[in-house]
Amino acid sequence: MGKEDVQCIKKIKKVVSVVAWTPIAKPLNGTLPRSKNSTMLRLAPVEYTYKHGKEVKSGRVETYLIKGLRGALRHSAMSLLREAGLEVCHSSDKEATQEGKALIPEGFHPLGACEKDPCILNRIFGWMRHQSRIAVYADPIGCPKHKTFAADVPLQPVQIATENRVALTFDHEAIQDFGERYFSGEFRFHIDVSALEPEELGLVIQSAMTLHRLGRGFNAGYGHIKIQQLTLEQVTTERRLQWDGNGSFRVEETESREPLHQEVLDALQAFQLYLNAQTGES
Amino acid sequence: MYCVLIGHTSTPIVKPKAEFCWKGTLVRISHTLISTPDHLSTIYTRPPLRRYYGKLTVGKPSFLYVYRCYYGYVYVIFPVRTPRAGARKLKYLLQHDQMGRFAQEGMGRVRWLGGFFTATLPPKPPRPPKLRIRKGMPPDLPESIKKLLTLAILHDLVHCNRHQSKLMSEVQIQDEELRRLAKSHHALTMNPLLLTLQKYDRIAARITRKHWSPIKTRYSWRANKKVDVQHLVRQIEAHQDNILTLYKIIKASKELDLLNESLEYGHSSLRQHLLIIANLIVTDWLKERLTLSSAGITVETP
Repeated sequence: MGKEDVQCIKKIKKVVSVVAWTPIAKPLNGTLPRSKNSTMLRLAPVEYTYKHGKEVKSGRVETYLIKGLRGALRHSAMSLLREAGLEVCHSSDKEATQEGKALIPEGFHPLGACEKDPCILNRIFGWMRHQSRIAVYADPIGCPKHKTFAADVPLQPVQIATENRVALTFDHEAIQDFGERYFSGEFRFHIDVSALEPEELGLVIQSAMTLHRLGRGFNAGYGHIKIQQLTLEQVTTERRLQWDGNGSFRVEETESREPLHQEVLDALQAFQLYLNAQTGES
Repeated sequence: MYCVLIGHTSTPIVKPKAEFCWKGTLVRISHTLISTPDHLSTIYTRPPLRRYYGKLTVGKPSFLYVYRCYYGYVYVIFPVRTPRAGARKLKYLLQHDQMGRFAQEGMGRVRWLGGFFTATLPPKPPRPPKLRIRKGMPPDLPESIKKLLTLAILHDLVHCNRHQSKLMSEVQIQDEELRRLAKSHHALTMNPLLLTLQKYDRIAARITRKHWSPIKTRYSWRANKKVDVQHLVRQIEAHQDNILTLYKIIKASKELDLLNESLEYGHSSLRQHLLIIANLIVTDWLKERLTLSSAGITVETP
């Protein structure tokens, strides 16, 4: 095996890192078996170490995935473009229900109707036959009991608990005595924008800045998001192989981040020019 | 020579199976972490943890857009024919950090840990043979096995201390001893016939009860018509002395398939449960795992 051939693998990508804060959000996945509680998508438990006086002890925490970030970003972009007067794809590809109720609001066309000349939203987020050109992801969230925790895997500490609710109706049926898992606190998510053109990047940045809701229950006061920080970075990931004597190897990963301030301004300007050109403004 | 690249999932990989092809390699997700080729066969013994990506509702069948996903340790296995080609492949694979569906939404993120080279791959552990449902019973069954089979088929169709008849109407068993045994098939007992039946009942329940899905009636999720229970009861009562005919009636009955074996498992079938018990008994007797002695029936325990 040519060990010298695979010493270092470098991967460069452009990422928008967003720091957001929520008082309470419920990006739920579904109901657990034998339970009335709706919960977020549970991931593998993470083991961590913490300091207890002079001792170092170990603990374990359940982790969850924040679902629906890409959908929230898409809806933010949709409302942004609608306010600017551009007709873009809606999230539904059906115009009306079987009963004749219209599904597409004014200012949108059905998803994928612009297949020959794709709109900017279609180009970024894709649809049934076209893959999205951005990837939105966040590190797992967890609620470790100990403040001095240190884990080998990335983990975002937030408050996670269950809200107990009673006597609600849904779809004209009473739902009583159920619980919903929520999280609260500051969290960070990333948008991989390596494949985007400048005006598309501008739209993604503006949409992320205007992102204000996530998960269910917005009208009841849940899922309000406040964006605190947004950075465009060039992330260089280096994976180095450390060879042992017996033919096995370990992968050591290092990551370096370099902010791209000027590119943000250029992207926003390109997006503004694109909007002007589309709406016919000078 | 083969190269095994090991990773760990940060977020679950959305795939229908825990073993799949990816970028020209074989990927296996497992719950165990190994560091040397000697323990490679253990990745098949502990399956990965499973999650469902999508909305699940208690008591209702899952939606079509609920996807299975797995997390644990990821083993990417590929053959290395020449060192140069192997290095190129390894370099290509290490540039990726996501696999499976919904990668754009943060699913299937993998952290690479390391790997090793091995000359051979261990064979997969053999699967246990499938149980085949017979078209009919063998004609030359001894009397004691016939008795056990009759009891096995009728045991859930009478009222007992644990449950009512699963046919919703009790079958009147004419044989006094069989009726007494069937009515106490959930009781603590030392009767060898009943102990044997309880063992096969447990095995069959374990085979048929797969997905927990509670239901309030005996009718299963796929039942779209009312079952004529009285006709079925009369038919069973008329042929309870002849196990060959009784088995054929149970096998041919489509209505019995619409009833549940368990109220906790809404997708289980009463007909399948009875047929599995009968077939397990017959298969064990044909393979001489069920032996007849003067004390009664004994079952070899492996």
